[in-house]
Formats: sequence, structure tokens, C-alpha cells
Amino acid sequence: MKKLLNPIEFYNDRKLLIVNLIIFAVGTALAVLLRGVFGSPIDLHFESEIVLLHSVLGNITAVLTMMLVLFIAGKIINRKTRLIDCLNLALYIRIPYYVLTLWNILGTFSKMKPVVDNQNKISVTLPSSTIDVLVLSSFSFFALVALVIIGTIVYFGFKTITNSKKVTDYLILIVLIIISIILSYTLSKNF
Amino acid sequence: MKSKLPTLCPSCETLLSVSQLSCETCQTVVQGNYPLPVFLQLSPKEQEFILQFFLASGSLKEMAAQLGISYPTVRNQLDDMIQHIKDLNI
Repeated sequence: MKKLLNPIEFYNDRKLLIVNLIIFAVGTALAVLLRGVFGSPIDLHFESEIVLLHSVLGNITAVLTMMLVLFIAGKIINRKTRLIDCLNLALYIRIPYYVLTLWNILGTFSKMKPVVDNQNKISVTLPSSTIDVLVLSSFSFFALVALVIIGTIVYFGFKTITNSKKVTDYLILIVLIIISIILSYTLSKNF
Repeated sequence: MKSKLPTLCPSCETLLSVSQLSCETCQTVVQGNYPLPVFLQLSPKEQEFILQFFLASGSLKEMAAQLGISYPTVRNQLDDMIQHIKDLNI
């Protein structure tokens, strides 16, 4: 369990990077197929149709943004922080998101996507069957679990990467993460 | 069983010093007051780390491979030890 929550503490960086890149490729393909789009490092939403470029670029942006945040925060705290460790952590924390895309396997979220018609009226399809309600409620639950898992991985991983021990070290990271979320959300909305 | 060299006083936890050394062969005893060397003030785990670091020619990557842990973990252990040695006021 400890190795799963903090692989950076135990595994060789290059081997871990290869595994992470394979998972990244598989996860991105899964997101494309299941119409999942990542708008920011913590966002996952579903489109009504497959949007290849949006899904791929969204995931790359999410990884690079997180990597930069970890690297900048790491360099502020400990100048020995390495980029490869930050990249590994940024790639590894995406795994729960790839798992969450599986919830759209029946297209539940895609069909509930609000649609704007010719008269600028927005129509939203509400969950109609028991399966839809089950999918929605289980997604909500597992999304919360995923956030807790990601938080734990970031905490342990960042501790290993930077050898941080003080509360202020984590405050720097939290502030930078919030800034990155706002920035990447604004960028994804504008481009 | 290899007995552990005590470095702190069991009563008041002050750092101990060497007051007697003896020769196993001729039973000569040297008495005096010598400060404990820095290396012996470290924990057995830290002493083992230094030894492994020396044997790996100072390569943290090689040490990480030998110990089956990652490079940042070994580097953190080294940084913590450097801080510990600095705290010993040497």
C-alpha cells in the first residue's frame, strides 16, 4: 500500500517514468474513447462526442501544469528538487482520473451534457433510469475518494521529492496549485 | 551479539566521553578524558549509511540501487544526516 501511495520513494526514476508514460498513453486513449476531457489539473468532464485533440491536449496540459507547479514549489523549498521526480508525480496522480472516465462507459454523462439549440435555449437531459442515478451517485462517491487518494499521493510524493518537513512548505504548494488551476481553467476556456 | 556502543548517559542523557581504553593482548589500560568521535555520536543506522556511501564511492544512485529504494529517498537520508551532524555543533 505504501508503495502504491508513494512510488517515488521506492522505485527507480527512469523505470517509473516508462511505466507512467505507458499509463499516460493508455489513460489518454481511454479518455478519448469515453469522451472525457480534462480542463485543468483537477477537472474531468464529459462531452457528447469524441473530441480527440481536446482530450489529448487537456491531459498533456494538466500533466505539464502540475509538473511545473511541483517543480517551482520544490525549487523554492529545496534547490536539489529534480524535474524527473516532479514529472513522475504529475503523471502518477492522473491514474484516478483515468479510472473515473470508466463511469461514462454507458455514455451516461455524455447524454446529460447541456445542449444549446438554434433559439439559444439550453436543454438538459436529467437522469431517467435507475442505472443513470446509480452511475451518477457512484461517480460522486468515487470522485471524492479519488480526490482524497490524489491528495495523499501528492503529500507523500512531495515530501519525498523535496524532503519537506514544515507546514509552510505545503502551504507554498497549495497556493501554487490553486493558481495553476485558475490559470489552466482560464486558458482552456479561451483557447 | 554485537553490543551497541552507548553514546548518551542513561541517567541524564548527556553525551558520554571516553575515559578508559584497554589492550586485549597485554591488558594495558589507558585512562583519560577523550571526546567521543563524531562518527560514534551517530546512530548505528547513520554509521551504516556512511559506510555504504563510502563503499559506493559516494554515488547516491548506486546506493539507491543497492538498497532497493529511490534516489530522492537516499538523498533525503543524506540531507537529514548532514543536518544532524551540523546540529551536533562540530
